[in-house]
Amino acid sequence: MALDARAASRWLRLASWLAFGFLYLPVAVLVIFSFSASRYSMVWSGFTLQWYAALADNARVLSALMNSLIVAGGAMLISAVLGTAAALGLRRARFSGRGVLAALFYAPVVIPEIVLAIGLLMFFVLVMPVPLGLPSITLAHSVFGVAYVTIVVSARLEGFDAQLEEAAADLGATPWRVFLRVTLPLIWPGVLGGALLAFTLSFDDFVISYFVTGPGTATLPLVIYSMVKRGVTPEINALATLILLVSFAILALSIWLQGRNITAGEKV
Amino acid sequence: MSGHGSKPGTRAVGVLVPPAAWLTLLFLGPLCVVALISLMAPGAPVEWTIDGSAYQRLLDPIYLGVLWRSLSLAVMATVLCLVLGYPLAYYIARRPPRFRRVLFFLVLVPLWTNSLVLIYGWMVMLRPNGAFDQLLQGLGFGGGEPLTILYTPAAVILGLVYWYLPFMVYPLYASIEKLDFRLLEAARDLGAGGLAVLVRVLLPLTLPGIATGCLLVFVEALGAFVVPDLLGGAKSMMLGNLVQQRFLSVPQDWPMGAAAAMLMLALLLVGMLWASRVGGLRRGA
Amino acid sequence: MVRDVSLAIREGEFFSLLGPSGCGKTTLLRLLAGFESPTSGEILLAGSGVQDVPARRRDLNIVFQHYALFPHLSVARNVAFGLEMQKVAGDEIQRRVADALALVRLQGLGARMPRELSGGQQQRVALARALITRPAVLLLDEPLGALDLKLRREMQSELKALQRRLGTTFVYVTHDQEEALAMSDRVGVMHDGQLLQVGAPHEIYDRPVNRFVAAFIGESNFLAAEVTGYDDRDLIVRSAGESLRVRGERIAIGRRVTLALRPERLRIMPAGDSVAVNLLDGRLRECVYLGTGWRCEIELVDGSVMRASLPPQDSGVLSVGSRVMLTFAPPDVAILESDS
Repeated sequence: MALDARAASRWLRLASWLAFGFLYLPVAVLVIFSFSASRYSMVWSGFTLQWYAALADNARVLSALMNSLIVAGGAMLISAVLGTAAALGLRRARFSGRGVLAALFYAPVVIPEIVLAIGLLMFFVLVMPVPLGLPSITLAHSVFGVAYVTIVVSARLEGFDAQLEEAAADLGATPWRVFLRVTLPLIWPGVLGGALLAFTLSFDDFVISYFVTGPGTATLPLVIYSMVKRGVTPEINALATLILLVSFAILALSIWLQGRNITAGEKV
Repeated sequence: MSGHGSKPGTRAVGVLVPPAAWLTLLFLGPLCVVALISLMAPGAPVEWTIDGSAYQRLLDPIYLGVLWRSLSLAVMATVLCLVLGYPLAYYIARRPPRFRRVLFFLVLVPLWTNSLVLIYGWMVMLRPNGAFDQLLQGLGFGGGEPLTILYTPAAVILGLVYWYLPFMVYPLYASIEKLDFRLLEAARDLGAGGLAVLVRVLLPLTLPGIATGCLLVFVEALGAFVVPDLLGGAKSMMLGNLVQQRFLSVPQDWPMGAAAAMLMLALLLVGMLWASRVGGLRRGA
Repeated sequence: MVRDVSLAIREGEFFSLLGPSGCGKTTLLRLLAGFESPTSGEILLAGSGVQDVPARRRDLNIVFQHYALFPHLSVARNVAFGLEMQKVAGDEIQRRVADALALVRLQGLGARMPRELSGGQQQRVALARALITRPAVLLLDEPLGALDLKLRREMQSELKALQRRLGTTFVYVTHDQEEALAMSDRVGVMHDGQLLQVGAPHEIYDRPVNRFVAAFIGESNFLAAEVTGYDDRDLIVRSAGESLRVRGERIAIGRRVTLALRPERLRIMPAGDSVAVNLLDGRLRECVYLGTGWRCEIELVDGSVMRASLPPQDSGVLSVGSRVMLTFAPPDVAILESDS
């Protein structure tokens, strides 16, 4: 019996680490070969930084990077403000129909990306005349950004003692000052964590940008896509490595913030 | 004086108005447009005549083939995700809390970072003379001929499993973590073997997570378009590619693309009702 | 839920709202504080209606059950919060925070964070924070509920002394009847959203208006009785086959009433001793020694069981199983209207 259980747990560990290996295998391959001198073969043929150097001279990549930063920054700001408001409102909401409203805020996460993408494309073309390009991409990214920030901040608010806000109001604070002096200081790690998540998701989004972009506007993932379609070059490896590095760093920060506990001892 | 729990909270709910308005405009609005356009007569961008022929065009044998392939690839990807994801979710849920958090987010990170780039990583590996090929050749498979894995349905399934595995692990983890593990010990104590514990206790209790995970992976995989586009060949077209073509390639046919999207939404909705029923039954039991 | 509560709290008094959990006492407190709004009726503070005034502008502060100290602010900043909201000048804030901390005997702890304090200390911070703006009324929601018994006793007398010194009106919510009796000038007993009785502790204890109050505050034995007559001082009632004299206002002959008898007001006498009035025959079923005295159960002839508390020296008659007589003085009985 005991042996049986131990063997099972060994298998479980093996299977899990294999799954982790599966998830991170492409990451390893991209990183390793971004430093490989060989142009065509997958064979390691010496260390080089030439592909990174080539990136620095690639005007298309640099302008796409700029676009991506603008879009991700804009989407992050919208998402952080609206998502935090949504989470605060949903927590206090006691009216019927709250469930429907909550579903509205979570649905963009579940809906297949491509459906949202074509919907937004048609919406911008036929209903709301937003110029296709940076404005349309930013607005489109704010949709899932708001949803993610709402989820992250809501999780943060779960351990939040509403009496703290009552105590502040009781001591004479206006609603706005209650928010600034008590609520925000206690939930800011969640807000910032959610905002950073919205930033990376926007920065890395391909499908929605692909549909709602206009002629001549490309974000970084769109440039990578067209490079990939034209053929495999080690320059993409270098670009991919850099993007993964930045995304990992921001995500790690976001996750650390989400888990950070200001009140110490109230919430894990 | 009389009173009860009528919190002044109803006033504070005003903060919900801007975000709700935003998503109503930019999320529900586009979904309504999809529904509306799917009913229109063919034309690009739009011929404002309702005729519903787009759905009929979807029933053309060519597209039925696409639909069938999408369904079967999505089902296979879902099953593989479950087989791969369940042990992973279980393993993570049984780690000490500190590790649990870190491991769980390690699963989500590939989803949240640039999936396109990661799929490109698979392209590099699966190419003829790529890492996989060389590995398999080295092990004595293939008889000297370069192996073509890239541009086959197998590559598409692999890519789908890769991309959507986190969608499976997330709900599985959530429902396994909530489990009272003493139930498993109780079952063992009552003489159940490993398999019996799994089938009679663990799986039934985590059924809501399994249902949600399968639903998410299935629907998302059905709408995939990057994976079949990059890893699949000409014969691996899926529903997502069909939508993309109808919108961005000539000849455009927005109503038909929209109809295909409506099909995905319908499957999602049916699946969600099913999953919530499964979840509800469990909770009721 | 609170229904049809009409209550006037006097300036400068220590008033307790007492009742089991869920009776509506906290809701009533939250109505006073302004966190809930009444569906009907008025709330007057110093003569003017405040039911439409938001919590932040009401001249009363609340001490929360779990203190609700701001975890991200130091003790001093917590205490200063109300003054900062009133935009009081910085040096005055400093001075008054120091005074407030001294008032609750927390001098020198201003720089600590709330989590670094013990439960009793956190309690004092909450008190200082609520008192610093010198509110007309201080509302306290089970403020001692989270403390252990010994600390609770200490804090009770400290709170009472503080209230006397400051002259601030205290409205104190508790489910602990002993606490309410010990600290309050007056007590309001609540049950099921209704205010059943308001009065000084001895009134509540000695003259409960109904069975709930009699049972919730202290302990009572209940005897069903029927009024059979009266004279100029007492009512004559019939209960458990005996004719009894009880002190009380006249009630129509034939009415059914309930007698409430406190265990410590009952005496036990050997059977056959018939010098006193109000004798009930019974059998001593059980007697345990509690240190402060004896606690006995007596089964009456009709099968009902009475509890009696006796002083430690009264052990002479206590032989379990023997026939005894219960007796009590006419003024020691509360007469309650029968519920059904």
